[in-house]
Amino acid sequence: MRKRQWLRLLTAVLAGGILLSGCASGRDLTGILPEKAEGVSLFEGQNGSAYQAQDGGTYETICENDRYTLQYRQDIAAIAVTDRQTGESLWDGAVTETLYPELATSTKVWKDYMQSLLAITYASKDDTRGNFVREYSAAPENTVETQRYANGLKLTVAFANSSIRLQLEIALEDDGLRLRIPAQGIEENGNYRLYAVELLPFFGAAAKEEEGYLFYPDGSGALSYFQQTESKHLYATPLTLDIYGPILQSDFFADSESSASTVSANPTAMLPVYGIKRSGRAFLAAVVEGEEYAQILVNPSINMSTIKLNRCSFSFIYREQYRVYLSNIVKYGENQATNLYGTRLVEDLLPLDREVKLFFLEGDQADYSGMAGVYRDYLRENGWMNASSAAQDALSLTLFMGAQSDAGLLPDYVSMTTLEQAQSILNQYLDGGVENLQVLLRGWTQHGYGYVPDQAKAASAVGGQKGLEALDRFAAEHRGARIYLEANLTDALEGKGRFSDGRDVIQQGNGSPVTDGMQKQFLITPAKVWENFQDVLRRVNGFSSLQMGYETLGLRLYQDQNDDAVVTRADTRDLFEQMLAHQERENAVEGGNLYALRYAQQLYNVPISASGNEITDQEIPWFSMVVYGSIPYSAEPGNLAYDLNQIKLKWIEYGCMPHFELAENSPTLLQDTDYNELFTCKNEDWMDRVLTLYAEFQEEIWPHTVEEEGTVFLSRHEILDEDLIRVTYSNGTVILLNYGDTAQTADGCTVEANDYQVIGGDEE
Amino acid sequence: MKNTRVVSAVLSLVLLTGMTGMQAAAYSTDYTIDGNDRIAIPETYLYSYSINVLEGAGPETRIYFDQPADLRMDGEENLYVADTKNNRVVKMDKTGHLLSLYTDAGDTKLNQPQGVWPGPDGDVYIADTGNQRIVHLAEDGSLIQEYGLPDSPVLSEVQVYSPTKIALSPTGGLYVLMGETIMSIDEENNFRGYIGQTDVGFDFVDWLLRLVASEAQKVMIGKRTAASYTNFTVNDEGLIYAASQDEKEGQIKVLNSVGNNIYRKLSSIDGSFSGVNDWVGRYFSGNVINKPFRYGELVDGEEPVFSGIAVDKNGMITVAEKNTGKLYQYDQTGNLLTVFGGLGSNQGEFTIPAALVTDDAGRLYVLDSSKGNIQVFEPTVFIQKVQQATILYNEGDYDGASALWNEVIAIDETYPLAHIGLASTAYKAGDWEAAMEGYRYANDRVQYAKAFSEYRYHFMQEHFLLVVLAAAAVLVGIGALAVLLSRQSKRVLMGFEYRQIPKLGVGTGMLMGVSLLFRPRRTMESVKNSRGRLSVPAGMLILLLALIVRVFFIYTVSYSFQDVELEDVNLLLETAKILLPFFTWVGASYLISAQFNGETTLEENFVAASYCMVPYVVAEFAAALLSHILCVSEKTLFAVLVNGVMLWMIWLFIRAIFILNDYGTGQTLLVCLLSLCAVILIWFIALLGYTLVGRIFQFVRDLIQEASLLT
Repeated sequence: MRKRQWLRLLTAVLAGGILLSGCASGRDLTGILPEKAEGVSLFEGQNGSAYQAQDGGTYETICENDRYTLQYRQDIAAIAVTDRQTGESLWDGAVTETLYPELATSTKVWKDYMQSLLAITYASKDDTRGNFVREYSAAPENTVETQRYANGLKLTVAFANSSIRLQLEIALEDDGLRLRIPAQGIEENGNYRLYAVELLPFFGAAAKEEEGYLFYPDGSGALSYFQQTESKHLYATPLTLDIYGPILQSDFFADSESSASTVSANPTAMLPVYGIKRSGRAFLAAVVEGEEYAQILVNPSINMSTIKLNRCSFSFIYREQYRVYLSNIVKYGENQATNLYGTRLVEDLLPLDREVKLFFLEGDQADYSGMAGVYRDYLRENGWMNASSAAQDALSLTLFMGAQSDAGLLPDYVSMTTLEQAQSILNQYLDGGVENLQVLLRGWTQHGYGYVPDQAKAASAVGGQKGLEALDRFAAEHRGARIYLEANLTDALEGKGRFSDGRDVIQQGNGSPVTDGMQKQFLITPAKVWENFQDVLRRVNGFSSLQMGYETLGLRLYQDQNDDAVVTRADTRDLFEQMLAHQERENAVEGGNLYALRYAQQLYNVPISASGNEITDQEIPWFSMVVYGSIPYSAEPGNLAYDLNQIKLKWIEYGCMPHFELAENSPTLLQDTDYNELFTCKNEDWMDRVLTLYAEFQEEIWPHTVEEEGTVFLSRHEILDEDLIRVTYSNGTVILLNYGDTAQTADGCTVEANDYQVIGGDEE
Repeated sequence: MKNTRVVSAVLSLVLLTGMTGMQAAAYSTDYTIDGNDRIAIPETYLYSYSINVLEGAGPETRIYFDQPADLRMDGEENLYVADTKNNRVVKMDKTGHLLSLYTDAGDTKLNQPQGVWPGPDGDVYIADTGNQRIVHLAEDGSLIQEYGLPDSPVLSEVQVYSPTKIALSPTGGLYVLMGETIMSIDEENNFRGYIGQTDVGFDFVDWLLRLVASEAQKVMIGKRTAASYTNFTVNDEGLIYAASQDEKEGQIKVLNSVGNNIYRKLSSIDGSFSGVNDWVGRYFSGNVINKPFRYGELVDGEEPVFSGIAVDKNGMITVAEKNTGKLYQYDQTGNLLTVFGGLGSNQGEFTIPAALVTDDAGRLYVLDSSKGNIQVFEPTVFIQKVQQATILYNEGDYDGASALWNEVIAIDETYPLAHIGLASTAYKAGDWEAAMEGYRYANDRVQYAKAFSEYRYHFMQEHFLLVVLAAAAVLVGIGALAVLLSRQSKRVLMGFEYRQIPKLGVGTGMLMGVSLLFRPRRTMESVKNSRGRLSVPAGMLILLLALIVRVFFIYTVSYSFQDVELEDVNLLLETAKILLPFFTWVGASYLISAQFNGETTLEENFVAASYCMVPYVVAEFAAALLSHILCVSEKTLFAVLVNGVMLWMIWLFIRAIFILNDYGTGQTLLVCLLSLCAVILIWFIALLGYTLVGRIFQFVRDLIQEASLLT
């Protein structure tokens, strides 16, 4: 007993010391981010009335509009949507026996789950082992208060075991449903901490015999067909997508080369959506608020799943987790090497409102192309995505300027392209007939690529400030060439640039920095990102015609769990938006996360494939179908492909700008730098091929897919045969692509092996 | 135990530092390895499709595989899977359509078969592991022959016969994997012999243990076993391609019919990782480094374990690494071509890759025993070109190879093997400079040295007179310099001895050091007799000079004589390498000699010791310059300069103690020995202190964490 007291005293003293030393670090974002507006209820201004069903065991109509009727079944708090004209049931929130005959014989837990609108996950307050418990809204022991409104319902669910209360607002709209979980409605009355809420876990679930598929935004977009679920291997597992990059901090560097375990993090979703297509109908679900902490759960009916149904859902995270090292802690007698790490939930609940919109689709529109269509319209109408001023029919070039060599005792900048050489390269392309050039300068700052730009000074070896000034004049004179100066404000590598791995990098909840296995890679705190951003702006202030490009800004969000100033992913998102909106300049953004679409004039390094997960049957250009016609984008550089023709076909299918990463010098010079993945880049070797390819796009593709007046969208994508693809543009242009090794015919048109055919819309 | 852990932690840290993190998104995740660095390359193999379930099976047949252990392919390119936990062997076509199912042999059901081999005429050989036998079945499944444990006195030690991997020899008979060896039996199940037994080798610790252990303890120590084989296959010519855990000779072996390994051996490569002999070798070659080579990669300091091995018709070997799920492909001579795959739940990734085969078109079929599926990979144009180039080169078609290497370079300008290939062609064509450049880029010191010696030979032939004149001029210059220095230093020495120089300045102090080169004894004597008149700054300057010369050496020594890779150079480490031994020696020898009626002060000790560093300065400087005209075959000369001078310095250090303290020979030796022990003790304590402080820090950190969990 006495020993314990002594221990407590010691820890108190130590903890106090740590707290004192940790103060005054200036990491928070007060004054930088705008005040958050209060969330608005779906039923703002309306007075609801308490709802009591006549017969709780059947569906009763709550409200209807021209097309749909919203129904509610009180005993299990379930909703269903029917066609108002025909009365046909369209979408069920709860699994029925028609869909799943084994429902009646299922265990209570599974049955509750299958019929629930909400499934919550929580852990006890002192849990360190990730012992999560789940509860389901449909369980009979819960109490549900129902308020009825003119266009919907508001449910208040009190979960019996955890004493957690949640509100869910459901409103019927012309084109679908809107659901909202207000942050204010969450109450934790017991000894438990809420971790996650899964919304509509079985809404639209389909049997494996049905025709249709799950659509999910893995990379460019992916499909898993219901009927192919059995062809997955015995131990294939469901897929979880993290919206806007890894949510668990330990996953940030999971894919890095230095970690021995090559287990990869969840794939990233750039757009917070999923869709389900069942024979004649489909719906698209999209998070419209609070997607910064959300995952997409993709559950096809594979061998490993208990419930043999195909389904998708959103899981909203309400607390961050962090890992704790438990070497000195013996709990339940376990202290084995395999159990050295525990997980813990942070104390504070994330105060985020969550809102989801469901778009119902019928007839011709009921497929993934239709889903892309309604989402594109939604984004454009609501200002989520703006039309870029940059040309779509452009050649995209990244010019690699230089990087630091590791060889020798003193750092040595390896110059790959000087600013003067860059001008002459661009001149060569402009003279060679290129009308529009989108140019990204990479590694132009002092010390080159990979360094934290605490001072965004141009490297003297590439021409320094004078060189930039000359380039600015060049850009002013040559309107066809849009030049973006690339900066990476978020990543830091040990020993590369001035930053403190205590103060300037993000931390885990236990106070240690977030890093990879070799403690080499770090992420800069949002406050420091802002500081460096100001520095960069000061440097480029004098230039009128040079634009800015931001690496990683559209790839991932991250959080800082540092005790002194917790910064959430939502804050980081606001910060990134602030940065992109802050300046007069045009932005090129790496990646295509939704929050960047409103500000970006150009997107680069956009994926043109999915992560290749085992449950995926088909990769589709869903992202392209949403973005094409609004913002020009480029993908992988063609010079790094093993076969230029293959990537050309992919670019055409995905509507990308042709893209190359080039330099004046040979890549052999980069041997001793960290940037050794650029294995061929010498402009002299590539220019002819690039110009030929550009000419091909200019003559064969763009006249049909890009119009001066009005906007052309990529409206339809179809897989006609394994290797034969048809893409249709909103102006009627059809492009057939054949990835196979033999010629194929479609639409009365023969496409040669590994080739494409454009059937112009205007001529028809 | 604790210490070994610390040492191994330090070691693994050192081994890992060579790797660098790639930052930007890499579009292809395939790579090759150059020294310790991963080099990104274009995609080499593309995931094509996977066989997850059996197609065309009846309703009574289980469509999934359950922990399958072996995969083979016959001449018609049909696949055979030892579907272990399903107690069956499956024959199917390349797309997974069932052709035949073997569930029993004779009257007995198959019991967890772990190996299979397709015989001629549709026959199949099955390692029926659970039944301790190998069975030979006809295509229709009827039993032709059963092989139990062969009857031979050699095999009397075998308690349980559990054949896992088997292969048919094209000349008749079977090979059976038996752990440390591969057993060869004939068709009548007669034992023919063991093939490829790995040498157990000599282990110093084990030898020492056995020397002191009692009989009872010896039993406890346990028998040391040779490295085991993990998998093997046999090609049409009867060569055995085996994956082994042999860290000495190499984890990939190609055994001919008498069991000799004819593949690239680690022990035959300069600069590879091996034991004591290597250190001796390095000493006599002047510490010259070479590109490290190993099969696979170290993962957290662990050697790779290749669970599957496949060879194609051209001799390209592909192995699957169990713990990382990576596939490594090597050419006929052991050059790494590509690394791809990995662990994960994506297509083209594995959980436990167990076996692999390749077909005529070069596709790879990889069996995953955990996922229970076969994934098929298609080679890209790039890797096909690379493979073709190595084939042509090995066939002697250098022009053809060179043309292909240029095509490879057009896709990947940094591919190391292409540079070696082109350099080799240049070498054959007599273009030594181009060859040197190519070898240097690919960091192949051995070949570079050969090209350099050719280059030097031809240069000398062309400019013989010039070379002779230059050599003469340099020799005369060195002689003159030596004479000058000798005279100057003698003047200082005499001036000092006769007290014309009351106290040494920086310049004169350093000249005293130079004088040690010419008159060691007299110089030491004068140091001894001049308490208070010595110059400490001069000693410091000599040490600084030693550091500067070291840096000079690192930067200017010729490529083939480098003793550290430029990218691994660390100023702190180089400084520590010189200063740490020096200062601990000075301190330790002073303390020890003080215990033995020594007569020196710390100052004298330091100054004398710093004078002893002068030879190092001269030799390192000379060696750096000399390296540019020496061939590697003359490396002994170089070694004498850089390592021989060390011996001289050690001799000088001992002499210093002898003279300064007025010791006898025996006493000198004793003091030196004790000083050495003291040095080691100081280092040990420093290391211990370092570890201890680290532990305390960690303890406190953990404690705080624990406290924070209570809230």
